[in-house]
Amino acid sequence: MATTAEASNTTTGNTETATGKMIKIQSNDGQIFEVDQGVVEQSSTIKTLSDLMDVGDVPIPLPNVKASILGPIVDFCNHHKNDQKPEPIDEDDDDDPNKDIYEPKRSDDICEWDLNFIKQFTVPEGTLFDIIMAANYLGIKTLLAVGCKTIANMVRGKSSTEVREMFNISYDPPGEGINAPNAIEGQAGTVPTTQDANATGPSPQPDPMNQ
Amino acid sequence: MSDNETNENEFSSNDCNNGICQCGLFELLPPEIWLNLFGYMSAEFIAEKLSLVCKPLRRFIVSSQSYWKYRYEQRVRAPYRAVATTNRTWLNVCDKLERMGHEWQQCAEQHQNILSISGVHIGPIINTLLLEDGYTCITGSRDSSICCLDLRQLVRPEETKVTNIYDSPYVSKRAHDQQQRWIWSLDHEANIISSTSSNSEIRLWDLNEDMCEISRIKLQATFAMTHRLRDSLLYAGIYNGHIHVYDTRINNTDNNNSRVHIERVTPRGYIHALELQDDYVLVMHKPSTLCIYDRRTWKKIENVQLNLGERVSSYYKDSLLFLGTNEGFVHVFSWKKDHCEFIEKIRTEHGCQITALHHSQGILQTCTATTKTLAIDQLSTPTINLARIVADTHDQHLCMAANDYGLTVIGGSDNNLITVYRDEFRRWHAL
Repeated sequence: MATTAEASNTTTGNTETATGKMIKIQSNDGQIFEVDQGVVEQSSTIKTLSDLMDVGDVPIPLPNVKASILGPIVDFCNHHKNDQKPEPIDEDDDDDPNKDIYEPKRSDDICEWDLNFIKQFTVPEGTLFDIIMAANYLGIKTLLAVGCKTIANMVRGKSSTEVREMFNISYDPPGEGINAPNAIEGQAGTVPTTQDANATGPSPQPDPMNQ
Repeated sequence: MSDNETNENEFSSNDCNNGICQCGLFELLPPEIWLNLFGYMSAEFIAEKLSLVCKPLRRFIVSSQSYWKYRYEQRVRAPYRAVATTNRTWLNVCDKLERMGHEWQQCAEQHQNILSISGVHIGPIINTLLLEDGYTCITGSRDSSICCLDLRQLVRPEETKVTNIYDSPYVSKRAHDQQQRWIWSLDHEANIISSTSSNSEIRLWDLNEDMCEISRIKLQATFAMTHRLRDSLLYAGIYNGHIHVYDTRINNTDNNNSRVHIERVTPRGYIHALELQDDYVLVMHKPSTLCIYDRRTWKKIENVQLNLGERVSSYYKDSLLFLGTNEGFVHVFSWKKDHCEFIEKIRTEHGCQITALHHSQGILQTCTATTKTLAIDQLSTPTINLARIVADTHDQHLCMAANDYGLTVIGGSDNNLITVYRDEFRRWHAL
C-alpha cells in the first residue's frame, strides 16, 4: 500500500503553495513524495510527464527508482531549487543531444553540501550507481554530474588493479577466467601507443618512470 | 590490418560471453553514463588504466571513436585539427593532445626539462633543424660551423659524461670552415644536409659520412637567406630577390651547371622564406609580400602585399602558413589547391615581435627575442594559453624548431641552444 512522504515544507493537504503547484511522484516500491515546482524544474523527466499529462492528484509513477533513492533525490533537489541556473554557453548547440556528454569537465568543484550528500551512497552497497542511474533516468543533470565526478575522483590516479578492487571485480569469474589480469593486461598499451606504420619517428621505448 | 581491427578480433574471440560482462562493471551503467563519466577523466587514464579493468569496457572505449573525435574537436578548432588514420585512432589523437597540454603545463609550472646548452657554438645560432628520428638537431651559427647534436643525452645524463672530440658532449658531428662566415639557412633531405652561408655558397653535407662535404654551389656576389631541398632539387631564396633552382645530383662547382632555373621575384627586397607545396613555390619577400609560383611553368600565380611590417617570422607545414608579426600576432593562411586563403589573426600573449614559431596538431608555439619567452597555445575556441616559459638566460631567441615527439629547440644570440622537452621525449628516448 502506498505511503506518502512529505518532502516539502508546505502545508499538508494543500497542493498549491507559494512556489506553485505540488506534484506527487511515486517510487517503484509504492512510496509517494510530494514535490513543488522548484524540484520538478530540475528533473526533465518529471517536468515532461507533468506537462504532458494533467495528473491532478494522481502520483506520477517512476518505475525505475526505489524509495530509498528517490527520497534523497528529492532532498537534493529541494536543496538546489533556489540555485542560479547556469547561462547556456552556446544556444546553437542545444540541439546536440550529446552536448552534456562531450564537454570537457572538471571534477574538483563539488560543493560541500553535495560532498556530504553523496557520501551516503557507496560502491560496495551499489547505491552510488543507483543514484547515478536514477539521476540519469530523471534527467537531473546536477545530480548526475555530482555522481560522475565522485566516481571520477575515486578512480583518478588508481591502477587498473586498484580500480578492480574498488569495484570488487573478480579476476576469475566461475569457469572462465576471462577477466584475469594477464588476459586483459596482455593488451596494455595497444590503445594509446599505436603508431602510424608510415611514420618516420623514433621507436617507442619502455617508460622507466612507469616501472 | 589496423590495430582497431586487431582489437576487435581479439574481443570477438575472447569476449565475456558475446559482450555480456561477467564481472558486472560495464553492465552497471548504460553507455551514455559511461561517456558522461569519461568527460571527467583524462584520455590517458581511460586508455591506459580504465580500459584494462574489464574487456567489455575496453571494447566500448576503443569502439567509441565518434566520442573521441568529438572530444578532440571540442579542443582544437578547424583547420588546425589532426586527423585519425587506420593506425592512429581518434582515441590516440585525443590522448596525445591531452598529454601535450598537461606536459606543457608541467614544464612551465615546475620550470623543468628546460636546459640551455652552451659550448656548441662560439657565435649566435641562427638556424636549427630537428630530423625525423626525433632527437638529432642540426644547428647553424655565425661562427661558420654546422653542428649535429644528439639530444637523447638530455634524458640520458650518464652519457654526457663521455668526453668526445668536440667542446660539447651533445655534439656528435661538426662541419667548420671559416670561409663560410655566417650560416644563414639549413635544410635536409634524407642524410643530405644543405646549408647556405654569407660567403655566397650553398654546400651539401653527408650526415652519414661524419658531415663530409659532398658538393658546393657558388653564387655570384650575393647569398641565399633561405632555401629548401626537395627531390634532389635545391630552391634558394636569394638576397637580391631571385630564386635559384639547382639539381644537387650534378656536381660542377666551376660553371654552376647544376642550376636549372633562375627566377626574378622582386627587384626591391630580399627573399626571407620559401616553401614548397605540391607543384607550387610559396615565397615571402621584403616588404611582407607573399608570392606563389607554379614551379612547372614558373608562372606567378599570386602576389599579395600583406602589410605585416618589416620583420615577419614564418612557419609552414601541412598546408598551413603561419606568419608572426612585430605586434605579437600570428596570421594564418591555408593552402587551397593553388592559392593561399587567409584564415585568421591569432593574438598571442607576447604583445611584441614574434621571432620564431611552430605549429603541430592544434598546438602553436611562438617565441620572442624581446622577452625571451616561449608561449604554448592550444588552438581551441577560444585559444587557450597552456604555458608560458621564460628562458633563464640572456639569450635572445633567434630561431626555433620543434617536433611531434616532445622536443623544442631555440637558438640563441648568446651562442646557447635552449632545449625544452616534454615527458613524451623522455618516454621515447630514455634508456
